[in-house]
Amino acid sequence: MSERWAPRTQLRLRDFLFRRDVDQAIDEELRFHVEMRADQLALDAGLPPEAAKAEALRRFGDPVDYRRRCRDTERRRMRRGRMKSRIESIVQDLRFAFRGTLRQPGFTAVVVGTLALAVGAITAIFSVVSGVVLKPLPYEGPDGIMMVWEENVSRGNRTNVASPANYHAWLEAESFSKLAAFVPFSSTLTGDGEPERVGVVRTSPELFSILGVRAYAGRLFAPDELGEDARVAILDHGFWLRRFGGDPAVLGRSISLNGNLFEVVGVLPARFDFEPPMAFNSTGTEDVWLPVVTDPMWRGRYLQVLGRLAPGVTREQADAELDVIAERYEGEADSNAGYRVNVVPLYEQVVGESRSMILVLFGAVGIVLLIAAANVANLLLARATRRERELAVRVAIGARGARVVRLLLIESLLLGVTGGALGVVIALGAVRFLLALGPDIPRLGEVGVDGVVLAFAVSVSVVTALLFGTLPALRAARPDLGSALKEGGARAGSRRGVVRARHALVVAEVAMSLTLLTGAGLLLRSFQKLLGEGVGLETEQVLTADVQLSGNDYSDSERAIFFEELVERVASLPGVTAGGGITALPLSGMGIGTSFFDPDQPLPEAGSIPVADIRPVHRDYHVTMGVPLLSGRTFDARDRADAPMSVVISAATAEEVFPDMDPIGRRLAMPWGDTLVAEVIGVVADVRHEGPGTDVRSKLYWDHRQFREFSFMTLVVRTAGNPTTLVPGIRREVQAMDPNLPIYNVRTMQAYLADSVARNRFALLAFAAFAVVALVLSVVGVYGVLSYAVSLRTREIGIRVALGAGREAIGSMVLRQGAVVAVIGLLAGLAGAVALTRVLGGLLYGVSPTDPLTFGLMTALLFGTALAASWIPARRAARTDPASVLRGE
Amino acid sequence: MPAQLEKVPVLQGTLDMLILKTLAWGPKHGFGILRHIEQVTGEELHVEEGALYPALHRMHRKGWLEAEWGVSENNRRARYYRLSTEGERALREQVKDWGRMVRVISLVLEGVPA
Repeated sequence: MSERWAPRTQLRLRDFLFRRDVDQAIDEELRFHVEMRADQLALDAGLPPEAAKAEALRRFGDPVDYRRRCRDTERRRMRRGRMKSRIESIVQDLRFAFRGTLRQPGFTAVVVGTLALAVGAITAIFSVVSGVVLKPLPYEGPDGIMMVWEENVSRGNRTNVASPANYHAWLEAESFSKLAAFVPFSSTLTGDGEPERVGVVRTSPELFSILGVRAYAGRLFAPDELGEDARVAILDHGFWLRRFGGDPAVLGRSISLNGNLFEVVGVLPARFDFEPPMAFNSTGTEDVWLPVVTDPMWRGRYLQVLGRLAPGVTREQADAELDVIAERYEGEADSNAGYRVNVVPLYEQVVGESRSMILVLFGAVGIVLLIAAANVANLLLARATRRERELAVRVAIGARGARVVRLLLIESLLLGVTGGALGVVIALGAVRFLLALGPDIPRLGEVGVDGVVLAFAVSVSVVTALLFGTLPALRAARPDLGSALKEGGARAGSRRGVVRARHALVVAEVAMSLTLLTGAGLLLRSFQKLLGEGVGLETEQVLTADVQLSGNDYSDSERAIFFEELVERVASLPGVTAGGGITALPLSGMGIGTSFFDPDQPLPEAGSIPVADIRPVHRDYHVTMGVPLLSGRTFDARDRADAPMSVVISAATAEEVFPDMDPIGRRLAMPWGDTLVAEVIGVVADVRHEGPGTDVRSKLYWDHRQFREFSFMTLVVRTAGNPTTLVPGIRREVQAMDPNLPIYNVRTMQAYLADSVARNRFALLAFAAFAVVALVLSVVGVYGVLSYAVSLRTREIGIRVALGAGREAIGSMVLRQGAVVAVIGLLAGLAGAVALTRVLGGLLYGVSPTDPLTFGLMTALLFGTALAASWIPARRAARTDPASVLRGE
Repeated sequence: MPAQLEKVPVLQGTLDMLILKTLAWGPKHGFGILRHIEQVTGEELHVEEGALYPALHRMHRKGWLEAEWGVSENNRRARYYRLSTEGERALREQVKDWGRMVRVISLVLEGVPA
């Protein structure tokens, strides 16, 4: 403490003294003038001394003012002089440091390389933190924008789409100054070139004003442009450029979507980007915006609702008000039983799920940086010992301790900043690599190395440099002059302190590495569990493609016939072993659900009516996807459009509705317009529709010929060879049947599967990379510190050998030293790991955050590596030649 | 005091030049500089004496003058100023500018209507 402050106090004191000198000098100079003048006046004009003095003072003018002006000038001169000398000496140190680093290229390369990697990694991850988590959403007043969902209490779904009737009830809420409903879907655009599947969002006009967007060209929707009859369209900027070449003349023209004409009235600005949180039969793009239809008479839940809070209203107040409204309408319709309202800030909706993962990765990479800093500090300590003589000479010839500390810190800063600069270059590449991994993180478009990220990189480099530079610098400032200047001799004393410091650093490195390794291990186990458990489908060698028939061109029955023929044509293509189809493909993010009941049992109370996903399928769907039939039969030729309704249920449905009885032959009812009643003909195995690790949900499968509500279907095709080779064949068959029909979302099931675990995979890969770097760094640390310790004890070891100590004993002595360091580090690391792996929580699946197996394996791995790293110095020690040691040293 | 009114005030900005020119003859302390100017001009120039010192310090800071403490003719400690090489250059430039200004002003004052 006292040492730290001493230089500054000295400086202040010197300043003070200096100033007093200057003031005195000025006074003396001015006094001299006045006295000389008085003498001269007395002599020349013969004035009496008093009068002469008065006249001299009068002629001089205002002495206070002149004195002040002289002082100001002097102070400025002093300040500049001091600054100049300080800068000169810093430049001198810098030059010295620069030469020093060049003189040891190997050392410099290792230090700079280590830092560059660590700074590069943390900068890359920070660019994600900055772009995704820290930046506000790119809308006007983003904090007040909320998503409003229905909450399906019985099913535990907190973000359920809303029904038009309930949306209309919410419009009365005073907590919101505006509400807007929207529905994403997709549509076939025809005319002006190839028919194309485009992403469409039907929305109420308020959406744009809630988000604060203005038209780039033309106009946005007028308040009354709502419903089926408002045939107006707004184009996305990118789509306008791509499809219409940015032609402004498109305004006022009509485009044809699914055979319906819409007049283009406006184009959105390029920077406008709003992705509906839930996609349904979507292309994943928002190409065209149309007015929404929110007729309260429409059944079902399908609206997504965006709102802007009224000024001064909190999310909680809005939530409470809507819950009250929900209680009121709960009694009005059975379908509202068990539904509440959930208001979620748009930021949470968009960023929420990814945020914890991003922050966990940021923490992990922060640990890597700390380990890197510890390693560099370690290297610097070792070097400082080697430089002890040089520094001692400096101190001996009069350099003050503070000056030596400054020199060493400047060296560290030079290393740190060079490493940081290289790190930024690495980060540029790493960010591109991260984005290419497709990590299923929102707002990736806003991730990049910008000013904020650069500022972060610079501060991290400087802070790291101070972190790794301070310890060696402070040690070097207090060299043991006598012993350092004496060649050889009793240096071990001061060096034992260095060894202790280095051991402490290595212990910390081992501890932090273990935390990262266990984290990576847990993520790996989770990932294996996820993939091992699967989704209940045979996803290999299955190709899928979406097809939608426009209601204008096909009636319900024509549509069923079309799908029948299409599946038949595709299934008979060479290389295809089976073909089927389904509306709302598993893993595609799509879903349709409704409540159902057993008409032959007493109706459950409102609120506990079971809910199931409903899936219209082509009869060969289950065979094609490898979903086993557990009992009964799947659909076949008997289940024609005019035959009695039949339904295939999933195992979970059977369990829920028909516990302890055979469901085959029993009846199920589903309120879908008129209540549909169907006979259960089969039970199939469960499928995790939402992806690995998600809950199994009840499913009702219908034959698409009997359940004709939906105009789109996803073809599923099992192939003998590489599924993608079939894409042209399928396209040809579709074109042959209807040249105006595009197929879209042509993907393999494997691709869907990979997407569904993309976030877990990304977290695993990043974490594993960090853990490997940490492992390597700490192994280098263990090796370095043991080599150093052995080199210090060469003499002692030589004597021991000469006195008859066995080489094995010497070797195991060193190994033991390594083991001790490792064990202390591992113990500390285990404690840290228990604390830190908890934050992985949401990223883990089927494995506890303190999984003993993972902890054990990783501890063993790290211990083994640490021993291996100790082995080389141990062998060197064992081979010490006593003769040469005792002769020379 | 009527005698004062007859004195010529020092033109703005010319004090530096007078000091530099005075020091061109050799090192002097502040009072010495003032006496020199008085004697050369026959006491016709009027300058408030204290104003000399901020000017001296300023030129010292600019590096035109060097300063050191010495002993005056009557054996007292006095601060002596000496022209540096930069000061000599500054003096040459100021004299040149001054000459040009005098010429230009004279042209106007002595000119005839066009």
